[in-house]
Amino acid sequence: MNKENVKRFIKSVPPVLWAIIILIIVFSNFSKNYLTYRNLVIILQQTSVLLVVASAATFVLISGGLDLSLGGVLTISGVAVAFALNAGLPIYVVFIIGAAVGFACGAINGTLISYLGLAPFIVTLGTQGIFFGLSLVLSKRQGISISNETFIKLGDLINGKIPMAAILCGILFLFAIFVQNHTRLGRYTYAIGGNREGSRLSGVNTKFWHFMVYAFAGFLTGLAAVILVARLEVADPIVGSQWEFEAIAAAILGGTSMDIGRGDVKGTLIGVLLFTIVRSGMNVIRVPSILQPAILGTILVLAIVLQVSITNRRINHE
Amino acid sequence: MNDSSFLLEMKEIVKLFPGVRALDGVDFNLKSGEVHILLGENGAGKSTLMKILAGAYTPTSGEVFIEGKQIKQFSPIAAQKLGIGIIYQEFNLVPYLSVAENIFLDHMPMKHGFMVDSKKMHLEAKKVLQSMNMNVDTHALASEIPVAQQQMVEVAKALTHNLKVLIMDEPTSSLSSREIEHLFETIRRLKAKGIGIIYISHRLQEIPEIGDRITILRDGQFVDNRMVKDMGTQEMIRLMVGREIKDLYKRDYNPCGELMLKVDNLSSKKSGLKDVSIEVHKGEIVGLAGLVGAGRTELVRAIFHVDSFEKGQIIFKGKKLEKCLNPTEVIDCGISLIPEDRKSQGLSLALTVKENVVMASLDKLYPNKKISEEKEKEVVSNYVKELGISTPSINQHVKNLSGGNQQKVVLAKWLCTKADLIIFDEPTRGIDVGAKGEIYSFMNSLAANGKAIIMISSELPEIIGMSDRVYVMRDGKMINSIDRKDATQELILSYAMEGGREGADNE
Repeated sequence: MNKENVKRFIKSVPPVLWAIIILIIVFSNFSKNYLTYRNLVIILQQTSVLLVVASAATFVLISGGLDLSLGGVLTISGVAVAFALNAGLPIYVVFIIGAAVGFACGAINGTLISYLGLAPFIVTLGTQGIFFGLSLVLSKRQGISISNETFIKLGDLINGKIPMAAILCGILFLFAIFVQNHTRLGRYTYAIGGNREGSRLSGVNTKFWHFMVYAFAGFLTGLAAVILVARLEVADPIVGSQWEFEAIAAAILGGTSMDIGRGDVKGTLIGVLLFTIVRSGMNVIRVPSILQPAILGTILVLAIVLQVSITNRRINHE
Repeated sequence: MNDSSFLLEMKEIVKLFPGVRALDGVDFNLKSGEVHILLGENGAGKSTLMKILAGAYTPTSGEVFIEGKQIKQFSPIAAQKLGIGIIYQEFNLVPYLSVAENIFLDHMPMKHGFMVDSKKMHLEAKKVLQSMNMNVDTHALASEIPVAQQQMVEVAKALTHNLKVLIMDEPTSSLSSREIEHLFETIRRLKAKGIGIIYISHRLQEIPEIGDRITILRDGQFVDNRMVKDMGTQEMIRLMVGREIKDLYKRDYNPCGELMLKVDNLSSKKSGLKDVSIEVHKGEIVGLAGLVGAGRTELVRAIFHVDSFEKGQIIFKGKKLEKCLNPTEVIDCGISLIPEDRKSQGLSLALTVKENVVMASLDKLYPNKKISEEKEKEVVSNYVKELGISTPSINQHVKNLSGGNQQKVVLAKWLCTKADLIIFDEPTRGIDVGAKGEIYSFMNSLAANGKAIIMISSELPEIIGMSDRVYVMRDGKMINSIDRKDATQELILSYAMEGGREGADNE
């Protein structure tokens, strides 16, 4: 390998990945247990659902939109899943119900935003409140616990070795990549974000596909809710709060841009990893929990500054 | 009822917008295999007429026939099915999709019913591009390829539908001469296939070269329809504006005064400038000619200290401008740069005329930092009068003005800074003949009042008509300077183009 190749390799690695590598080295110096298989698997279990929700957020962001209701969608889908299970419905039906409730929530957003032309910020801020509120009402403000053993296995760390939730979320993540790269919905997400009027004039039914972007984001989040409920063994009516912010932040850290139709779901994985590692690392080095949000926020901002400045330099360089 | 020898016929088209009669009973027709020029000032209704044809608007009344069949439903999708393709003036590609994805945007080949068949799509895209003699990587993102190629991609996109009518709205406004030649070749090839082409352009000199027939609109009404060879340029202008512009370019050549700006051996790696020197005197208009990418914009950006430079010096009014200055300090010294792209660099579209005009000179107008409504009103009203900006009020939002009036607002903004050296980058791009004339006469009076002007332009008649002296650049180098007495289009082009003459004894 000559010098040029090394340079090119270093440049090809997203800057956030460097931050991740450095953090892992730092944290593993603090605790011998940090870099063990068991610990890594536990971390994966805990954050894999965020990866799916962040993938959903990525679609919306690439289309030039914003979905603040994803946490609400996650919650209300979870409540629906719990009702379905406790009514004794078979597990595959439970998956369908989770996906359907998520899709319906996304469809409400999509209708208001695409067909009625309302601003995504206001619409999803409003529906966020509605979805959370309904969850509270339906659950009577209490967590609905799950007793179906087979279902709980789907979110479990089986024998302390096989992280089921992480595997299922991984499959959903691959599905999101597939939709992005190989279906019309994926292409039109870029088309709507990059040049909506141009696409409309080219004969693309932009209203329908713009609607579909939100509906699909809801659909993915609904499926994520099924796995979340299986892992937590309870459908908590406030579990989803703040998820949309973490999801959006992870997507942006992964290189997705809000205004020019650029980015991809693959990059979002990196953003989610950064989040996860910082959070788990803070526990490892025993940062008091009241300080954690502020530190997390600071690291987020720094990472985005790093990301943006390096990307800009690269663009200017080209 | 209707003559089916026409490929396309539009009859008595009326289009009303709130408060505006954009089209007032316009007739238009097109034969297959002809290039039909549509000419008119901005606001004459050309774009509205074409948007109806492309399905972006529905006409208020009137009939449209394609091959004798009446169009009932107006939508982009319906127009495409009928074989009507349109290449809009603005960029209409999706920046972060590939060339192939853009070409097949609305009808990507599918497999298994839900998957996009990428392999087939790239193969087909390559075929279409090859049929146009184009060699573009179909995997490249649309935002990565040059403007000229983007336009070819738009043509290719239109070709993938069973294309019968192709509408081109000012296709050459951002192309260099060589790229225009390439575009014309493509147009001739399409003609030979029997495709009818509607061509909108403000560049009068290219009309005889490419056009067969011409229709002129004025204020939403049909004016005339003739063969191009039966109509001279002067007559086109007369019919377009309803008055004769004897001399578009007004210049009183005054003996120029003392040296205002002297640039010595300026070099910059980043912007590709190599040992560029230039002099501008008081009362002088200096033209900067060259092909797109020759380094003209880069030179003025360096003078304005937007981009940095490594070697050379800039002397303004006898004082050296240090390398470390920033644009704000350069403005304070008395230099203005009127940028090429008024929408993204010259104006804040969402603000009012008033706010835009005073934006660059708030410190000068209000040394004690407090904005006074009355003074603002007085200053801005004066400019509106002086420049003839037609706006209902100084509180109108700039985005509601026509292109020519927007350009005048940009002018006012920079005049307001009371600069001594004013740099114009493509001052008349995309604005109509009437507004052009006004801007030229205004530049003339600026020079007469002792200002120094540098004008970058890709329109050679404009360069020749307005400049005291013409500098020609190529590949970041200053090739030659030509006195106005010797300046001809042929001479300038021969310096500007590769393989043309090398710079002989400078001055």
